[in-house]
Amino acid sequence: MELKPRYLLLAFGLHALLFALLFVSVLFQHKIEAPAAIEAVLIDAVPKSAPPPKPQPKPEPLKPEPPKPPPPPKPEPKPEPPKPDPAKEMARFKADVLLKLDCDNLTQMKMDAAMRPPEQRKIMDELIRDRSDACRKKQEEKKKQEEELARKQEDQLRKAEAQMRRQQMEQEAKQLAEDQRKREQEEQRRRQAEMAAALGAEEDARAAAAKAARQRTWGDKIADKVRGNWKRPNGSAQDFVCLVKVQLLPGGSVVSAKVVKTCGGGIALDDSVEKAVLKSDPLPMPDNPEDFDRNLTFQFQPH
Amino acid sequence: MRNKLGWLMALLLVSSAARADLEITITGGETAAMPIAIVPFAGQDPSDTDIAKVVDADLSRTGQFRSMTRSALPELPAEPGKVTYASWRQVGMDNLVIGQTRRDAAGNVVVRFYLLDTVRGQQLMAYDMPAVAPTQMRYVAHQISDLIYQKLTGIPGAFNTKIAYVAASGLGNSRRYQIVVADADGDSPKVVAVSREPLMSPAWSHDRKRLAYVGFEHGRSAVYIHTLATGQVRKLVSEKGINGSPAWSPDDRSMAVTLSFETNPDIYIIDVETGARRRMTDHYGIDTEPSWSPDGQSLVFTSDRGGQPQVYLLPISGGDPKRLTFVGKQNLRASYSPDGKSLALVNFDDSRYRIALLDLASGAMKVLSDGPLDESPSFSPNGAVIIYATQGRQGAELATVSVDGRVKQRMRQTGDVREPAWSSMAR
Repeated sequence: MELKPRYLLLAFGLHALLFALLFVSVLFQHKIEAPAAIEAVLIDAVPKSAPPPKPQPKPEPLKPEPPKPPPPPKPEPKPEPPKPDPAKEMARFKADVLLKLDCDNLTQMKMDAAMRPPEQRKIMDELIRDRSDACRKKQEEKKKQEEELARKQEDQLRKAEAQMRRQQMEQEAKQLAEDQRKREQEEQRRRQAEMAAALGAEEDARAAAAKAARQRTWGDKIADKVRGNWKRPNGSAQDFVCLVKVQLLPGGSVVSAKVVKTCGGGIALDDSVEKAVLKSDPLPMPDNPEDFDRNLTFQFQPH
Repeated sequence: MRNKLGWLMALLLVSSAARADLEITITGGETAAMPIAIVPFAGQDPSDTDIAKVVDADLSRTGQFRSMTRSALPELPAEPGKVTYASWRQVGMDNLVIGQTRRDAAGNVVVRFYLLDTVRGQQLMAYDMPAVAPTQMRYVAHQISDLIYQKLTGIPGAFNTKIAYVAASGLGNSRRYQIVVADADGDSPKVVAVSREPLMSPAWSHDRKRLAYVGFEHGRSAVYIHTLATGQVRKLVSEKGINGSPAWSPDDRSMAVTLSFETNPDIYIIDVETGARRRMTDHYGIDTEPSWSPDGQSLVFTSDRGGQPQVYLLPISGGDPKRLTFVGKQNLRASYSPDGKSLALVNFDDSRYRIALLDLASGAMKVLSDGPLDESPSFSPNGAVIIYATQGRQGAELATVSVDGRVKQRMRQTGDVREPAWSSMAR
C-alpha cells in the first residue's frame, strides 16, 4: 500500500531530475559563450585578425535553445496517458502490478487483488498466477540449481575424498612397495653375506679337514716313534688311559712333556709315558710345515 | 639361518680349538724293566762290600729293573759334574746311580750316592748315608736300594728286611733241622735254632723281634716263640696231636694255629700273653694253614671239607667259612698280600704244584711259577715279590718271583731249604 506512493514519488523525482538536468545543460551553454567574449577582447590588441570573431558577440540566439530539452523527458508522456484511456489505464495497472509483483509478496498481492474491482482482480489474478508459476519455476529452478550445486559440491567433495583416499592408498602402496623392496634388498644382501660366509666357512672347514688329515698322518709318524720308546714298568696296570701335554720347539724338539691325567698306576707308569716322549726327542716333523703344531696331547693306553 | 651360521661358527671354533692341541694316541708299548746303570762306587777298598753290586742285585731281583754289565758302562763317573748324560741316553740307561765312599776319622765308612735321570738330565737324589762300620756296608747298600726303589716306583723298598726258613742237612741219624734267618737277598744266613727232629713253619712277628715255629720234643709237636735278641724260646702250645701252622695277628697279640686235640685239625686263636684259646672252626674236614688279613678282621685257611684242599675265608667274628678258590684241583697255603687285595697260594693242577696269585676282588687266579713242587709262598713286605720254596737240582731251594710273574730268581742256598717267611719292614 505504501509502495505505490513511493513509486509515484520516484516518478516525480525522476521528472524533476530531468528538468534539473535540462536546466544545468542550459547554464553550461552560457558559460561557454562567455570565455569566447573574453578572447575577443584580447584579440582587440591585434586588429588584423579581428573581423571574423565579430559575429560571435551575438548572445541572443541562446534563448530559443531551452525548449529543446523536453525531448529527453519522454517517460513523462506515459503517466499522462492513463487518464485519457481505460485500456491504457488497464495496461498501466497491469504494468504497475507487474512492477509490484514479486515472488515474495504473491500472497499479499492476492489479498490485494481480492479487494480490487473485478477487472483489476482478474488482471491481477492472472498476473499473480503467471508470476506465481514463474516464481515456482524460478524457485524450482533455483532449488534445482541449489541441489545441482549441492550435488556438485558433494560430488566434488566425494571426488576429493576419493582422490585423497586414492592418493593415500597410492602413498601407502608406494610405501609398502618401497618397504618390500627394501626388505628384499636387505634379505638379498643378507643371503649373499650368509652365502659368502657359509662358502667361506665351508672352505675353511674343508681346509681344516685337509689339514687335520695331514696332521693325523704326522701324528701317526710321531706315535710310531714314541711307541717304540715306551717301556711300561713290569707289573704295572694293564688298563688305563693317561694324557701327556707336550710342547715342541719349531724344529720338533721337545721342550716339555707333562702328565696331565695320571695313568693311575703309580709314579713309574706316569714317568714311563713322559719318558717315552722325551726319548723320542726330536719328534718327526710334518711334511707340510703349516701342519706343525707346538702343542700336542698324547693319549697313552695299553690297548 | 642365523642360528645355523652361529652353529657353524661354533663348530669352527671348536675344531680350531681342538686343532690347537693335536691329539696323538699311543696304544701298546712294551712292558719292560726300567733301565738303571749302577756305576762302581769310587774310593772302595777291594776288601769292602761292593756297594754297587749289592744295589744292582737288589734292584734286579725285583724284576722291575734292568741293569747293565760293568764292562758295557760308557763311563765311570763318581760325581754328577762328570756325567755325560748323552752317552747314557745312547746306551738306553734312563737312570744312573753313582757314588763314592770315604773313611772318617774313626775308621767308619761314609757313603755318598746320587741318582740321576739321564733322559731329563736331572739329579733325582743325593744322599750322604750315616757312617757305619765296614762290616755294615751291606746294610747301607740295602738302604740305598730302598731309597732308589721308592724314588723310582713310589713303593717302599724291602731290601733291608730278613727272611727266615727251614734248612735240613745230613742224612739218617746225622740229619739236622735248622731255623735260619738271613738278609732278604739270602746273604748272611744265621742259624737261630737246631734240632734232630723236624722244625717247621717259621713265622715272623710283625715287630720282627720274634719268630714262631713248630718243633718236636720226644715226638710231640709244639708251637714255640723264639725271641731273636735274647735267644729265649717259649712253648706257646703243645697239645696232643697236631700243633702247627702258627700265624701272628697284625698286632702280634694273638696267634692263629692248627690244633687237633679235640677232634681233628681245626683253627684256633691263642692269646700270646695269656694262652687263652678260641676255637675258630669245628669241622670233620682238616682245617689248617691260617693267615691273617692285614686288617686283622679275617682269616684264610686251607680245608678239605669240600673233598680236596681249597682256601676258605673266615671272619674273626665267626660264622660259616666261605670258599675262595675254584680254579685247579687243589689250592693251599694261602697268605695275604700286604695290601690285603690278593692271596699268594699253592695251586695244584696238571700234576704240578705252582705258586699262584688270587685276586680277591675278581677271583682271578694267576699262576706265577713253573712248579712242579713249589710251596710255601710268602709276600715281600712291600708286596712286589713272592718268595717260595721250589725243587732244585740239589733238593729244595728258595726262589722269588715278581708279582707279575716276569722275574724269577733262585737264591743261593746250600742244602735242603724250605718254608721261607719274609719279615715285615722295619718300623
